Amino acid sequence: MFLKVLDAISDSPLPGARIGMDDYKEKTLPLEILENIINAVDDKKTLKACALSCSYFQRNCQRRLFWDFEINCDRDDAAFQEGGLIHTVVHTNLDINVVSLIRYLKIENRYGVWGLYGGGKAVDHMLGGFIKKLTALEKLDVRGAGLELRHGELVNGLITVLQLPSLRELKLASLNFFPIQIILWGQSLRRIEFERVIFVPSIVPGGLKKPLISPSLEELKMDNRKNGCSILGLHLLSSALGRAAFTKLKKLHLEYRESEGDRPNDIDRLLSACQSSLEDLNLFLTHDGML
Amino acid sequence: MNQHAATLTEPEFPAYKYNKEYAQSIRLSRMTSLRRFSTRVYVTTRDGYLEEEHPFRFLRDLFLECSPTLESIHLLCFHRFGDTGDENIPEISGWGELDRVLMSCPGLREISVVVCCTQCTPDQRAAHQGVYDLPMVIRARNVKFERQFTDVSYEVNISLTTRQLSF
Repeated sequence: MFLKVLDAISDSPLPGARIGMDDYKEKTLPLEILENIINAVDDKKTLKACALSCSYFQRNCQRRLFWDFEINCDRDDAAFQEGGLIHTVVHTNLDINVVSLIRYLKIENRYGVWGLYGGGKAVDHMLGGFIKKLTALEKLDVRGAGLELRHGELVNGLITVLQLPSLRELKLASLNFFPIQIILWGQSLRRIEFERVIFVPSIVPGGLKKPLISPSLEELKMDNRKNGCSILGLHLLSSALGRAAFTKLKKLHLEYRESEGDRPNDIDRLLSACQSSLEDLNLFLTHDGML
Repeated sequence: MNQHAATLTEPEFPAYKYNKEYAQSIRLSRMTSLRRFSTRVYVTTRDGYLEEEHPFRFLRDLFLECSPTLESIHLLCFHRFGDTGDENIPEISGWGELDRVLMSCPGLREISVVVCCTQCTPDQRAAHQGVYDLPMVIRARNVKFERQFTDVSYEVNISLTTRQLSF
């Protein structure tokens, strides 16, 4: 039924056009009903069809199509090829409204892209260029060991997007060698989650302005992997700038997945930074006692 | 109390020393806004006796100097290697001491405990009902106390979230 409606209005430049229906005389569906129908659509394939039906619906459908957007580097080779979305956004100076529509971006690269000329480096370069152009992002989820954070453009892109006033939430998962100091650029971040992330002290590219910390972080969730808590303490919390980022922390979830690098006093620095603001503490230790 | 447990004194446990260092690093008493605290402990038994771990003494040490604002405590206890003769393990491992220590937490209103005993027999699990209890703090402070015994797998629960901790 809905597809029939779409077929009918697709021939018309205006919404609410006359629609032929087998069992009824010619009737006009009111615009608000058509809008309600479209608002009820919850799968992207149908939304794409709606977006192509007429220019009136395009804006509403596009907004919802791109609201939460996923880039799966393992599957979406085409997005990085010429003509693909990522390639187009990065390599053209056109005013593409997609970059202002994406509010929640999930980037996943577990294995690296093999089919692309330039390999993983080209992908990371384009991803960095792509996220740099986003203007209204609220939540960023980056995961996968296929991403290599030694590639400068990707790190630059992350630093740029972290400075967006709209960005409230950052989730990083299964990343190797993440330069921990990057998070200091997250001026408006409310929540950070690290899951199976291995930190390195810093490979922040030179020439960047120092981050301006306005302590906004309210929630930190991390699992302590490979001296994670220790690196956090040594390379973030040892400076006044780093400590300032945690002074409004209200919720801390710290889980030790392994006893390697697990030292009791590492937690002291983190708790000292947020001891007057912390309201909710989840502390899952290993209790292995491997001294 | 079994004889094996009676011979174990605190300084002999490396794990106890380790957990004591943790309790000292955490120092709940310095947290002036803390309302909710959640943690997990592992209770390990072998051949009916407590292994070389004192998880509940860690909790006891932790709450000895409690944050004055703390209202709610959520504990997740993984009972490993359940076998015969360990029905009184929580009692001998410091659980009773924990009960006494919690009485001194001034703002405490709620305690919830999830006990995951996947490797215990049904009889052992039934016996746990009588020991994972905090009668003193409940009576003295009128604290709301909720318990849940579960046999969900250890692997699933290794990274339990706080959502799963709540009732």
